[in-house]
Amino acid sequence: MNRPDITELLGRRLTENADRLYRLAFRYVKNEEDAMDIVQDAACKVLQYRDKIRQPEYIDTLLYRVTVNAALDFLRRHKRESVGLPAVEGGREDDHGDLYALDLLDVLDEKSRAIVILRFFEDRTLAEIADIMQMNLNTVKTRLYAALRTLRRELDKSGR
Amino acid sequence: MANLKNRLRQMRSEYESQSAPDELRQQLQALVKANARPPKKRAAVIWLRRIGGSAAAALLALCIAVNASPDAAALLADIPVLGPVVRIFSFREYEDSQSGIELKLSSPHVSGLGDPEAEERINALFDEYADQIIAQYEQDVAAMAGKDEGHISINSSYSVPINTDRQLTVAIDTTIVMASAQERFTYYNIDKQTGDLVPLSGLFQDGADYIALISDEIKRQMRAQMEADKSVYYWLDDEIEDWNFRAIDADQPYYVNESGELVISFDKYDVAPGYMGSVSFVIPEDVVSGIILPGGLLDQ
Repeated sequence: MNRPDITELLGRRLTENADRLYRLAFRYVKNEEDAMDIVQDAACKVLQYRDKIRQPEYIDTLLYRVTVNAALDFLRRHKRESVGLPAVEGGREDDHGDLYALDLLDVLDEKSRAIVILRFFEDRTLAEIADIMQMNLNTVKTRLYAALRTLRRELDKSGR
Repeated sequence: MANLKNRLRQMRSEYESQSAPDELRQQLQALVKANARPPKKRAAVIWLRRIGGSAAAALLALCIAVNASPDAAALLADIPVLGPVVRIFSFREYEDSQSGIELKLSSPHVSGLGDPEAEERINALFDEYADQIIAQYEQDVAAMAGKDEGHISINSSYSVPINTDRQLTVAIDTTIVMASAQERFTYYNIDKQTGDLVPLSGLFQDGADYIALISDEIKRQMRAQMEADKSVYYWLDDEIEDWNFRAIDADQPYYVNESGELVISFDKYDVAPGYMGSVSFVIPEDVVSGIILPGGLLDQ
């Protein structure tokens, strides 16, 4: 193999995956500006530590991972800023119908949300997800099944 | 059940219909451009890692090819005398340049250890290392043939940092330059009394947990250095956990310095970002004093 420069490779992968990373970030913040910030944070982090990338074939997993981390960081910071304010929730009632099918994911905790997205929308294997989320395989499985149960329950509720 | 499946399908198409704003793409490109640096630095590391693999097949042919020189006698006459008896001399010189890749290699042999078997064993190690480098070089030349020129320069030489009555350390310094340099040190520590190569574990009593003791000490030093100097950074408590230093390898490269202290060394990128270069840590005697092998290289 020719030895591609890692910065160049990262640049290419970042552009190729911009949509994927952006969607993932957007699921957490639901606005364009913050989602863009998160992806940029993630890109900075990867570029900063690119010397440590030993296996270029894992760059995609790495990009997901830093993006999830950046999103969770963002939420953490944001929560701290808005201490004391009631969480904005329940804005959509059944009879409005669901504005977005995707908003169903909001019933899940933040990590489970990423697991469901990666598994069902990004077709990642459980092993890859374990790597992205820095969890062991069994934890990923358990969380995924629990998440599916929660989603099903939620659907049944609104279906009634 | 079907309900959830349908819903997931619906969510997926909704999810996939969303794309990143062009502005984000531009920002990402700008970010990458701002981070661009002299190219191919990282590639050198990949090259080095490949050397680690076995290249034993190429061993014999190359050995003959490079050493069947009529100048061998002249070369032997020039042997520098380092210790009273033990000699380190350049056994193989290899210089070649093809397809923009250049290799200069000088690999030693040792003589005068008084134990022919031990000598043979040690010299075989030097040869093997040289063979790996040459084999990798030839493979890369073949891969590069007809393509763009490689602009790679590889230089492998040796030095003898320590040669006391008891102990001989030969350091092989392999530098690979591809716009910027990557360096790897390999130390061979030889106990002159036994003629044996001494791995790190050979400095300590059987079963002693030297890995934990030394690793903890290194972590302590890393933290202290980072605290004292903001420009120093080690991968230690980094949030990307698998990059963090946890413990030394059982056979981590080391040498014993002139004051009889253990020095543990790490290659560039092993425990710190590239700008830190290769780093080493002097382990104070009292850290390991409880587990030192009596009569070993550290017990002098």
